[in-house]
Amino acid sequence: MKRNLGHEIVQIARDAVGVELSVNESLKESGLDSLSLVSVIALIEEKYGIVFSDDDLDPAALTELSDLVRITERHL
Amino acid sequence: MLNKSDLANALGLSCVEKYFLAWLGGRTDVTRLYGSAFVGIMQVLDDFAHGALYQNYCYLPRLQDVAEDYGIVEHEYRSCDKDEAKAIIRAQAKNELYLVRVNAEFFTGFRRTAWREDHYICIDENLQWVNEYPLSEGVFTEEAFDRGYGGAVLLYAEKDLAAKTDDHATSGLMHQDFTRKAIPHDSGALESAVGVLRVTRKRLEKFFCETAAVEWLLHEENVKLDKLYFNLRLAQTKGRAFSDTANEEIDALIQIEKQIAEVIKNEKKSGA
Repeated sequence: MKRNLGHEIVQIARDAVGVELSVNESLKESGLDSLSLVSVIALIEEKYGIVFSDDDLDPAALTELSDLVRITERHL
Repeated sequence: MLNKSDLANALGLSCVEKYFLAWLGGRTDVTRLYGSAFVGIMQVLDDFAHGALYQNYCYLPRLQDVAEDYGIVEHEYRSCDKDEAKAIIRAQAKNELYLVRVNAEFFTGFRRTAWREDHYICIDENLQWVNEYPLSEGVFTEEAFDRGYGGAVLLYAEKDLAAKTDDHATSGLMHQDFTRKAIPHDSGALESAVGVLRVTRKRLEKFFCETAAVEWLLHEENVKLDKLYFNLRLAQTKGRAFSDTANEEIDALIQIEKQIAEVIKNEKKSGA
């Protein structure tokens, strides 16, 4: 079954910080502020056994759900 | 009624300040308020090195208080029971901002809770609410309102939207004292200091939108502040110290603010 990374990351955010991410809203407008974004990123690393690089973790480039999917896919 | 997007982008340090800026921004240009209060970078770092807390950082006045001092708005705070609160809320005028203090019960079901015990949400006459942190919205039933009500209603009304404001930012930036003071060594305290600087410097970037050179430098500073804030939290989350590069990062920010001071001084000399 093709993995739906977007759905999995939405679940991580929901479980970790109670935020409901959506493709129709930016991360910030969904309620994922800078500090809770870090929590989600740490959990993504833990779940998939990956380590994001400094280039991946530019907060200016992590504004949408698709950005989180993109940087995660690179490591899978 | 405010929405989540309004609040997500509001440059406030407290929940009330964010609601206030989002509300007033729909009525007048709030960027002029951003220049009416200034705090130097060394002052912020020194304050947090000596125990200041983000949630009640008091060196910088809150912009709702600044606006009231200028006569732009007026406010009323009413401690009252839930029934009186509902009556007040249902009778609100369209051009007013109504905030309700909520209690711990309101946060049941959220994974995060407010930074301060005295937290407010914005509410309309139909008991539709929006909450700044965690960012959320909903509609109260009567029972839910009664359970979550924290004992006070805070309202803001327009008074004179054309009232003049002062520019303290230009002189503040130009005459900043860069004498080395204390820098927080604790990652949490440094994160909080950077948190205050992020908000205040983003405000300044908007305030100086017509001064290209200053705006550009503030933009560069804000990129660095966002990255530093993020990395400080990441290091703490992973149980890592961040001391290695923190001083270099802080020095880079101070250098930018020194450049800003020079640019402003040069523009003053040239009569720009």
